[in-house]
Amino acid sequence: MSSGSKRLKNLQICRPFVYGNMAVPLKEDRSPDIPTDHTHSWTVFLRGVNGDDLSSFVKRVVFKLHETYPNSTRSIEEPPFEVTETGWGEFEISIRVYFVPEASEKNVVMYHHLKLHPYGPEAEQQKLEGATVTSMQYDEFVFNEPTESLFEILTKKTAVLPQQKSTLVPFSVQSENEELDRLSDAHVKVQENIQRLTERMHALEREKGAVRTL
Amino acid sequence: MSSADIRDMLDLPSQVPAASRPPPAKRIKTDGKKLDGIHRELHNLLGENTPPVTVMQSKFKEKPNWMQKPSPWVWTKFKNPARGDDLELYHWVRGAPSNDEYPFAKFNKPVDVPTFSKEEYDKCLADTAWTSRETEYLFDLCREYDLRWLVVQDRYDYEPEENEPPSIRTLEDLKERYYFCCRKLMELRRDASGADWTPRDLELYNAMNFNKDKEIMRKQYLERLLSRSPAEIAEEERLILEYRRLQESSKKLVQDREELLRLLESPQTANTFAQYQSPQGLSQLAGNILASDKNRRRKGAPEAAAQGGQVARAVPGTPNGGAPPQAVTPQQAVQNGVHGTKQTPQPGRSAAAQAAATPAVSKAELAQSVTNKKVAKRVPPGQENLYGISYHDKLVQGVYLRSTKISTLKPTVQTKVASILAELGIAPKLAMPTAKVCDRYEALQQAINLLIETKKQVDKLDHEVKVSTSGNAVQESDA
Repeated sequence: MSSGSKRLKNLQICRPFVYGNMAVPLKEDRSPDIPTDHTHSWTVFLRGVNGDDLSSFVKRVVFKLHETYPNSTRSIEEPPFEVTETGWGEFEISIRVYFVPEASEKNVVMYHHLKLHPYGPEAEQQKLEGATVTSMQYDEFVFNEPTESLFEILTKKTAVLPQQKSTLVPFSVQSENEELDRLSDAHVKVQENIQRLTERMHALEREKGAVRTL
Repeated sequence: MSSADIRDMLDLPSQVPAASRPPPAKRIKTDGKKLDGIHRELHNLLGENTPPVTVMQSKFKEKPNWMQKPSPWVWTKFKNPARGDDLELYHWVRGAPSNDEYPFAKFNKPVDVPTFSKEEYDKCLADTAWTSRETEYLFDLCREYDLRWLVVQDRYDYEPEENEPPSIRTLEDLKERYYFCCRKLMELRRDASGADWTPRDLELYNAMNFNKDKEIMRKQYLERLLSRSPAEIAEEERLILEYRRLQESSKKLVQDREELLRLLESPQTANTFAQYQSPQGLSQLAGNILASDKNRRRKGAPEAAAQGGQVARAVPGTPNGGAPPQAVTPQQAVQNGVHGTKQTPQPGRSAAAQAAATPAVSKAELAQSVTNKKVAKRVPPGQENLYGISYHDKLVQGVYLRSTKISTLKPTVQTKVASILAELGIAPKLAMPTAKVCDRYEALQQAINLLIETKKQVDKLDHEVKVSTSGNAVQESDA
């Protein structure tokens, strides 16, 4: 067995990435070969946080669009892993990520709902402005017991989240900490409740004991 | 906005004057009909307009479109040339009667029953059971009735001469005699003329190969087949099905056996284990195992004892044993007996550190140390979290997305947990599923689970207490 394909036991290495879509309403000056009922131009993408290059361990990404699109299965073999199209409707896109052969891993799939229309309190205003609508999701690839070759590839460059949030990179250490804080607060509240309930339970048990002896 | 208004706005010259243009709006036709009763009510409901689509059911068929002119039918006399007599019959003929031949005459094709001369008969057709006269009688009948065997058999009434026994001939007998004679005649004539048969002749010859016994049996079979009772038919069907099923299963069995054999044969040993069958061989094998075990303890090789064979490979000269099962048990014994490791020079793996490993070192730690060393080569020790590296004891090999590995509970419990999360202001889908976030989320879920359990307990106790107090109250009131 060559050293490249041996797996490192008990090791877990993860790589963060971002996937999602951007959409912008089509203006008046659109090219004539777009069908007239398309209202938006959108791009669905998969990329690294911070604009990192994923192609070191991602061989290809297959985006499966709605069947009504011609060649609805788009296979992207090199970065940037994205598909740009025009359309009028929102649908679920399946994103299948294939890894490089050195990884000896099977592909993973994730689903993303294509967002074209703005949402929320400023929806109307955004619609009128023709603002870009984005819907992005952060996630991480977790490799359990990676092969040596994959390990080497992944350790060539560090994968750190940027410290601060920015418009381009909405996922950062800051947002992570925010989430952690939220979760901690919730946890504390739950603990308080549990405490309260346990005390009540003890009280009730004592009461029950007292009633029995009557 | 009519076109006139637009033209007015834009100061365009007006078009053709209105009078000559047809009025753009359609006038709705008013019905001057007087309607009574139900129709009036209906019209009031529907409105003045007639419905846009009416279904017309025509009661009568369309007039058929004849391409030809009608022609008269004539009652004509005709004669059938296929008949021997001069019978004249009449029939209806369309249009002018033509003098063509009666169209059905061509179907009167007689069968080719061969005739034979006395010499031919004496040469090859003589038979003990059949006289020449009877044979001729048979052939005449065949000619007469166009080789229709059932008719021939029915009409067969041969009167034998005085010194002959009465002839009782079954259908098969007749057929046999006839076909035998025909074949013999064909052969005779071929030999006489010297010309070989055409393929068609050969076909004919082969077709006339009548086997009496087979025919009799065939008819018996058919009879039996026809006279089966429904119970018998059902039984037969069942048997056929079972047979087919047995066939399938036997095929599968053979396949499985093949696969198993292939599997058993597959690991090819480099050398035979014959060299280990002698006592010296056995001791040598034990020595090898001991050495490789020591090697394993020092270098932290892969854990499972079943991989003893793999470890043995690292030691050069040890064949890929056909004896891994034997290797396991002595290895385990050796493992228990080994105390400490020596600094004996060991070939194989990369040079290990001079660690004095304690006897109770666990396999996991060994594996860990191997990985650690490999990692240490690539990544400076403090910066592991920059690459997202972490260590765990039990890892399932493979790749996954972190967002998919959030644990799920039973659906009923899950809904309760979800509602509590909503109350706390946590979204069901994590915004940033990093390792830390996921862990904390898990912990939160567990806590909520615990909360729900506790609440359930409290409610139960509460209920019990109420019941007991009310029960006591009843007792007291009774007492």
